[in-house]
Amino acid sequence: MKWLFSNLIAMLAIFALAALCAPEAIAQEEPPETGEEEAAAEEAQDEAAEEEETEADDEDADAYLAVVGARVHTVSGAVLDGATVLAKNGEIVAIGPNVNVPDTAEVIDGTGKELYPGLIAVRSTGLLSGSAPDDGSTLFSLPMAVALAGGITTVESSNTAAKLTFDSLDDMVIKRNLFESVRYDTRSPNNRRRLRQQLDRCRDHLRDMAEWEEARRTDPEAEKPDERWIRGDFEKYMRLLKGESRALVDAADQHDLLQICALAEEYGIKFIIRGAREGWTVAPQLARAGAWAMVTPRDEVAQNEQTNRPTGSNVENAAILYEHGVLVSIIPAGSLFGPGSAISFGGLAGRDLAHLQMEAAFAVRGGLSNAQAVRSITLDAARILGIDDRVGSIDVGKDADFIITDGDVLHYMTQVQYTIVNGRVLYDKDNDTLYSHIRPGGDLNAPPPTDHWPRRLGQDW
Amino acid sequence: MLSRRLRIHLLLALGMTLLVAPRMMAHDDEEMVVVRAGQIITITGEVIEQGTIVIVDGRIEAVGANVEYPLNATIIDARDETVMPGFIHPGTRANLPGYSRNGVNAHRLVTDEVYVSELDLDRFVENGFTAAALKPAGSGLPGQAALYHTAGAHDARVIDGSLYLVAPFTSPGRDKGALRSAFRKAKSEIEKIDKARAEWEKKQKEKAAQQKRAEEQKKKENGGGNGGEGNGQSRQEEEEKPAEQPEPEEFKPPQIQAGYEPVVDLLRDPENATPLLLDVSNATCWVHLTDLLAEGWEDVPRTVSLQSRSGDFNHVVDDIAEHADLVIATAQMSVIPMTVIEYNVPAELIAAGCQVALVPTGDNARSLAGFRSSVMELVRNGLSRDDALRSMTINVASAFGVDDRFGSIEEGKVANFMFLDGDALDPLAEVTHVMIGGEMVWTKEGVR
Repeated sequence: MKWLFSNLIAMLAIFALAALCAPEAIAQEEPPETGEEEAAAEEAQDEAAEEEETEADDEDADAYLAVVGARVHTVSGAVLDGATVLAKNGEIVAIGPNVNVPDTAEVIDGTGKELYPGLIAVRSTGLLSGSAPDDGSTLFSLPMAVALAGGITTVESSNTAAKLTFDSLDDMVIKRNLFESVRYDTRSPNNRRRLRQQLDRCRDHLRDMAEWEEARRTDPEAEKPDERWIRGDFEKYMRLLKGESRALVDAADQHDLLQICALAEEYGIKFIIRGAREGWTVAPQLARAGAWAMVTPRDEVAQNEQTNRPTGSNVENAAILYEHGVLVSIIPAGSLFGPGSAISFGGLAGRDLAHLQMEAAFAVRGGLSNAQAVRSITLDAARILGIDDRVGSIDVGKDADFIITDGDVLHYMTQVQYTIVNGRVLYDKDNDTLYSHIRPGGDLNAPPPTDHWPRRLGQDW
Repeated sequence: MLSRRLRIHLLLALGMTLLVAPRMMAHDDEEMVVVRAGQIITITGEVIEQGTIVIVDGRIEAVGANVEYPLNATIIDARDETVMPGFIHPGTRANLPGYSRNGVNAHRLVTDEVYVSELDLDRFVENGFTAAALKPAGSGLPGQAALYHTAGAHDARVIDGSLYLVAPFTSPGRDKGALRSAFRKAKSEIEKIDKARAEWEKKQKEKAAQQKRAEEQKKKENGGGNGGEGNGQSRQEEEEKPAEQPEPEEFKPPQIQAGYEPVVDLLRDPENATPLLLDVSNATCWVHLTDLLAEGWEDVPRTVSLQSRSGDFNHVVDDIAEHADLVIATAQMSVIPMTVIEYNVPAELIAAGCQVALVPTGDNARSLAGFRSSVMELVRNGLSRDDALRSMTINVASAFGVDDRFGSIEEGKVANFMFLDGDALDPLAEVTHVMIGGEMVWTKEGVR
């Protein structure tokens, strides 16, 4: 409202000026989104020729990027054929078939290509540094280039969600302190007992506080419960009990999962379960407990023959969990190196960094729908991280983080052609040496792309 | 019309008479040295063939092709040699003790850890360096570098004892936070002082007001009193009183931690403070550095030094040139990581509109000896000869604000020269003599 009001004043001032000097109109600030408005806008532009000169600088400052004619997989909604996506200063401002693209916009021809939201790599290591990626990360790095070439635009590491901005620190961190880390498993009974005791104490305190609030209405001198002991872990548990944040817990076995379900139901805590290897055996319980899961479809552990119940891994894990209403995000190859080292650049897992979508494709093999598999590495991953207000789908108002591919993103032949982060093209397959030698469709007779060597050296090279 | 040959003869004859018959006499109290050189590379002016430099009391009095000098001057005959300004090393730890400091110790001076009498900078002298900046080692803000003459009288060795504050920025995870907290601490110190001053001023005002009130009251009392001797006396007292009043208490600012004092000066008085010298090791560090400075420390006076062998500065050359007027860079081609592509950081910086001061690749004798040839390598890869020569001399001087005294052969500047038996950038040419402050401090073995 404030903004509107100040703008109104500015408009009035301009009108007053216009009345004094000559018939002038006000230059439009943003391009209209539909064709209907186009004619009107052009009229206004003609009239505003003089004013535009003074505002030209401001318009130059706006960076537009448009992808024209691609099949847009919004993930949050429909798939739009031949639509245009327009980004302004790193934010999506228009999507649709008749978007007016400003002259100053950088235009990417998306004809025959697919546009998806940038992929989100939950649990990554080695790409960005720790909990303050904006203060210690290595930029211009090969791992980052490889991840961008694999379509990854956002990573979560050390409880922080950040973007792979490659050459800049602007708008890098999306959110810090994503979850509260909690340990609760059968291997450490002491740990479990202590956690329950601490939760009890916190719950009692919350009850006392509620009582005190009640008592204060009649007796203004009622004594306030002591709050000084709420420090460290207790602060964390308070946030969990109040529902202000979610608990992240590592759990794989059925027994652990059921213990967590019981804890969730007893205290009303929302859990995010990392691993959840045997989640498919207790999917209804997990769903009832409101738990979310990060799973690896390729996780492989044989069934324990000594038990007479289903155990071990199952490629259907993601599909079964999803069908029962558990929000699922897919993380690759966690079991190889233990949970928490899912997407890294070192060793074997470097391949997963480049092929996050392949991990999601394994979930499709296990019965997850194509669309849901894409969601599990975009919008649902963003929801689990609590950053779905910024990234994860193609929607007006969201960050301009998307990838353009030459086919279905889950297909093994598909290559990422462009990766856009904050409205800036950070990977362009034809101009980057990483995969530029790979011809589309495996056609070795296709001409090599122009200017494919050397990479990232600026225009003069 | 005279024939061409005759004209040349006439000119030659004229030149000879000028050389042979100087008409100026040196004063007895002045020590005058005259260098007659085959070629003078002045850096800031034209190259002078068969020129003369007149030096009085260690400073250049005159330089040119035809310069008058008195007969009783000491003449140095270098008519088959090239004379150019001595090199200045922008920062070295050569021959200094191998310890380092961590944390904020910006008040520490390198001059305190160096005994001039024990300073051995021979390998600098032998390779044409007439001055070198010695810097403290460590992380955080380990202290202040000093500019030294590499040879000469001990009491004239230190040129500037407080040249720059060393600030390594080679690991963003460590150095960004360290520098940020140093700035923040210094800022809070400034706020503390300002607050104390405001309080003090308030107190002074209150005191003054109180005094005034007391005086007024006294006056009133006196006015109401009876006339007579006593009254006169008190009036006299009153007149005397203002003179007796004690001087207003001087403001005593709260104590600042010594290590932060230079940082406080950086923020409070950027123009007169000792600037930072930021060692930046790659493009990542550069981006993190600009990110840090954008947090409100843009005005901090600083010079950036690029450690460029494996640095991927190709990503940020334009940005560096946009943010800095003069950058110190290693005299070396760098290799773009993960490729075999060589990249000429100094040449690209200059092309992007930025001045460059070159630093040898290392502190050892070999790197110092190879300085000219490594610059030649840059010239072969696109750096212009002019820019190369400037980058080795005057630009280093202006990086440290001593270009009024050093870095070129001009009137009024200190006579710090190197003599070469060939072209300045010819790797095979050798340094034959080195002059500091008009005195020959080194002569190559076997040279007369």
